[in-house]
Amino acid sequence: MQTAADNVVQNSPGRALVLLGVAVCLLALGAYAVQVWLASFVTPWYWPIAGTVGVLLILAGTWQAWSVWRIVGLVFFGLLAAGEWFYVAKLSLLPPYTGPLAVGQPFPAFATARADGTAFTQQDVAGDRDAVLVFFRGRW
Amino acid sequence: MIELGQLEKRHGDLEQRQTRVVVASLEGTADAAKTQSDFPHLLVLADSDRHLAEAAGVIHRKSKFDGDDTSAPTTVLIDRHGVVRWIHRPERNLARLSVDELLNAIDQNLGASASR
Repeated sequence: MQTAADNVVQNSPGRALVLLGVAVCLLALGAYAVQVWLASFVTPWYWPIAGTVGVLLILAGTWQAWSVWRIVGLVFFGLLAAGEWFYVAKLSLLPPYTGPLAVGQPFPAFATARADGTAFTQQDVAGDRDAVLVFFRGRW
Repeated sequence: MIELGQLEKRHGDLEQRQTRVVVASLEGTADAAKTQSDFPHLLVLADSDRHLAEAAGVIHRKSKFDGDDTSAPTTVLIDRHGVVRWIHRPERNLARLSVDELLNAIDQNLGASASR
């Protein structure tokens, strides 16, 4: 005796693979959001890898029976996975440090401002405590 | 900014090591004042004139989404005599030093600073 689920699988071959692929692609995005929320600082290689696995699942499902929607989904998630690879592997690369700072040498002279507009120079870095100087990209 | 939040949250661990945290970007005083308000235990600099970023060689050209420059994420340990003791830049801008990694670097590179 056939169940309703069997009928769906027979009527829509590959549908489970396509849905699983979409779920994996969306989970990869969600996992990165969770990583940011957890303030974890590792490079999220799992993101494009999971996106690629999802696309391969969608491709396998589409291979069994194609439809316009499956092909649209395949192209959409394929482009998304390609974008993820480009962003993580290429766009996020930072140039290696080649600046004038050298370990064991005094920090060079500078004059800048604190948040309240008052002056801050290299003499303010030295004092009764060591300092961690963190350069960040800004509030954007 | 997540990085700054973690540093703010763990400021006690940094103060225990007699280390203060100075954070700098290329933004002006208005943005820096907001950042200072969000992270009161960090000393926030407004380096819009780029004097500090150029002295340290950390400007990342055209790295902002609108094509403007930013500071490449870089962490420098400076001892109380003003001498550079450690420089770290992540390979990718998606990665940052965790606070535990920073504390470990402080212990290894600044631990004996007071006696030097």
